Amino acid sequence: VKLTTINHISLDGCIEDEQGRFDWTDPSAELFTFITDLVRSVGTYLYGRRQYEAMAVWETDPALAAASALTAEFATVWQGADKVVYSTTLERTSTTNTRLERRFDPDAVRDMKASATGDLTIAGPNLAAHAFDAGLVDECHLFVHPVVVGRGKPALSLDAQARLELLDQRPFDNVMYLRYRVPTRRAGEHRENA
Amino acid sequence: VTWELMADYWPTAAGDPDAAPAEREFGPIWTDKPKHLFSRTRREAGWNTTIHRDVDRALIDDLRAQPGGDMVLGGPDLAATFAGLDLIDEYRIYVHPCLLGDGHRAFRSLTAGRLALSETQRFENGVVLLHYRRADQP
Repeated sequence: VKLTTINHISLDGCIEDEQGRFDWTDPSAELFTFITDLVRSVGTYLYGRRQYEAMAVWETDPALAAASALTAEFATVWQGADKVVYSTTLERTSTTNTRLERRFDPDAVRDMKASATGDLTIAGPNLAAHAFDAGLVDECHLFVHPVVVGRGKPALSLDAQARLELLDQRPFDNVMYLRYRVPTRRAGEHRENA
Repeated sequence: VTWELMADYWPTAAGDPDAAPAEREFGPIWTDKPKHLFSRTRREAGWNTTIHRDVDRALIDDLRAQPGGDMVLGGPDLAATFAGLDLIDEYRIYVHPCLLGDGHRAFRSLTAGRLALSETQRFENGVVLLHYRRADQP
């Protein structure tokens, strides 16, 4: 079981621009199919509130799933996975198989990882940064889009530095897929400077 | 700053026994090629370098019209200035497999138009080259 991050990023490493727009991440059919296959192994999604609200439409808006065979398949795969939403403000969740947590507890996630049968994916830059800093992230999947957004929101705002291992790379038209392994470290050990 | 970083090392590389063969080869290539340094403070520069005070569109158009190979631009702030004048045709970005936390951003104030990924290459040390052209050019 692995804990991964999956991010669509601009060439300058942002997930959205200053106005919160990310319409440039719309994938081609080939890329959409690849992403659906990529998340088939995901048993549990760990979401920050904003990421959760952006993704919940895959269950709450049937029109989205009905748009094409591709979106229908993704919706089915997404709905089949468990979700944990980390938010101090959210009153209730709108999807099935979903649990609400008030704070991110690295030890609880470590336990979740130990008992899980499917992979875990963590989404949301602040949440992912917590997971990185706790040494919980095993792999990063990046889709680099050919845009520069300038002052946007970085996918990873980390204190820590790390050397990664490139596991895979593949272009999809103008989008580059990069898959990295994050070196493991013992609990409590400070990440070595690269 | 980029010019000084380069000038501090490459002229010595060819004679440096500790340098890798590829570095010894690159040294004289760097020193011999014509270079243009954009600086408001620097008064002189060796190694076949011409100093300019400002980035001037007419100057770049003039250089572009001259025979010779392509021109390569270095330094994030200078690149932002050139991009603002719509003078950059291609981007070659080498993505290294490391996380730096907060660092100097390659694209801090640069805004590029639409780009098309034209070539990628993986190197054995995990670096990936992303080569982009302007999407509006064939």
